[in-house]
Amino acid sequence: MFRSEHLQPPHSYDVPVLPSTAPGRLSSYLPDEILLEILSHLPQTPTGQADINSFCLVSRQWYDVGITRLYERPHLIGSGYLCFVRTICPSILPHIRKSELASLVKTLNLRHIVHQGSKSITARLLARTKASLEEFVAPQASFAVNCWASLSKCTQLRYLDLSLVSEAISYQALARTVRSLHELTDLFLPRCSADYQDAALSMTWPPKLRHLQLSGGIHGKFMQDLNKQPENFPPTLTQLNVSHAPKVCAADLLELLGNLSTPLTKLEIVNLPQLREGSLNEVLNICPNLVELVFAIDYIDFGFAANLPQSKAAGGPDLWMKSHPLQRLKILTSGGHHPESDFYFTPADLWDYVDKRWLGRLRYVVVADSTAWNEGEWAQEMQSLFDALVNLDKENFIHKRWHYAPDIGKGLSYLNWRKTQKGDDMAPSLSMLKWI
Amino acid sequence: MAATTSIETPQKILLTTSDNVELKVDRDVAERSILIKNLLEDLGGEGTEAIPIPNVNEAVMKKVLEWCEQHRKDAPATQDDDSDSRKKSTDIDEWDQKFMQVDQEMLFEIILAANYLDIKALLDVGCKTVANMIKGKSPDEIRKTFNIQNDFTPEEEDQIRRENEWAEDR
Repeated sequence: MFRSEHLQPPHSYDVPVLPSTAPGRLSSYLPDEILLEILSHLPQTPTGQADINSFCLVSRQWYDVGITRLYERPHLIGSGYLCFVRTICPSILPHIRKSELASLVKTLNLRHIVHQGSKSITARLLARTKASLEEFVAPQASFAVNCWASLSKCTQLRYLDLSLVSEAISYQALARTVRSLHELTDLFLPRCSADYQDAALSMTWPPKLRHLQLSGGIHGKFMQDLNKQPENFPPTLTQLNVSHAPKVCAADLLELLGNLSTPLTKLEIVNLPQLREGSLNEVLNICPNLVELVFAIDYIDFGFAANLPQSKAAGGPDLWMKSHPLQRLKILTSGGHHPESDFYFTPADLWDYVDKRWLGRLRYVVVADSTAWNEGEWAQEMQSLFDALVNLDKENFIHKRWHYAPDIGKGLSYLNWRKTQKGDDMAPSLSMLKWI
Repeated sequence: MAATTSIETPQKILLTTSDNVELKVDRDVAERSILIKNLLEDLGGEGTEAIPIPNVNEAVMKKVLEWCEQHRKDAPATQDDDSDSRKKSTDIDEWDQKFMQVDQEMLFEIILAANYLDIKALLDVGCKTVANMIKGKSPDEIRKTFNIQNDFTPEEEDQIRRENEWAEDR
């Protein structure tokens, strides 16, 4: 009954709780700590926020307890957005009655705002929430040059997503803004294809930057300027995505990867039309500590990872120790792949790396349908690949290698281990992404 | 743990409720309450004297002990219980759902007692029950359900309604 709450009209849920009708009874009371506990079970979702709103309107005590949760991560869609703006920015004149509520906002996600907003409204919202704002997702059509100044004052900002911004941005303005955001850990650049013609760019990345997504007009001089100052990247940068950058060429990208090399543990490279078959063949050597890799099969060929392990001569039983740390691999397509080519990277090629233990830590493999890996004889190779992943997992379990700490599944046979919940969670998987 | 098993632990203990009623319960049932567990440990192994529970009356205590009895075999509460996974769902198991079908006064009393006695899992079920009852209700319906006085002035209520209009269900 509780599970289906979203499927039924809200009022159909009816607990047989009898409202007490004893005459002259005092109002019921629960202490703040318990109200907070109750509130924590009302989710910050579009329907949940309506419930939190009702919660706040019950009484003064309930308002004081609930109001922070209501404004922390507002879901802003459609006409609700303009109502929200009216509350947070009651007047265009900055000295008129500042709303206390603005300082409660920690996340401003304007992903769903397309027609309702304007550039000046976005700038004003940022200006009002700057003291508390930790996450900002810029809207597609209403983020522009007048927003940078407000944005650079959001000094608590940890997460900045500009990926939807469609208007060309100035990279100098971006660099100036980012320089003042010392707490930033996640940064997503816009996809818009602004041509970067500015004077030499000196990009000082935030000292705690962990996750960077590069897209849009980051080719040519922009990349070259970044590569001239590799020391500007903080050592905290472990996750890189490069996508939707139509003119980025392989040489610049490989140089960037080389500059970021050892700290990188997660890498995603898709939708870069300038890259060719084989462009990324060396990626596992360039980034020796990758744990997660997502890329389009367009950028590799059968020579992918052919240089693993680095000292090829070493054979024998200790080869497993030279395994690349890669655990998750997702193979997509970007429309430029050629399954009919003799050089195409096939399931059998990947099977070989697993079988030889060059990829001796691989556990989760996801492959897009469009790779054609599930067609014809490749479908059988996929089965062999899966069997190889299971054999590898069994071997790692029995010898307590890598992610299997000595006490995991102690005393259990592999088969019995797999029957446990944890064993099932840690089991290897190979899946196809349908219609992708 | 090995040390305690060698000592003769009494199976039954006595609790005195706020209305001076003595209740005899199995120790492991009563120890679902961290408060009682700690008190017993502080008092030592005797367990002959009654433990006063001055904040909970007989009716509520019996109800709470009924829950403890049902859950006596559950894994003991750990520090990890504060994790978000607990918060994610408002699912309640069937027995607990039935158990919570009481009048509003008793529901609040159980929650307050669980809080005082430090029985995290029961507090959790109580709070989830209240949260589920709030869902989909208007402020006025919530007040009626839980017998809460509206202490806003009409002007205040009106202003809050206008400020938070963006969050209304639409």
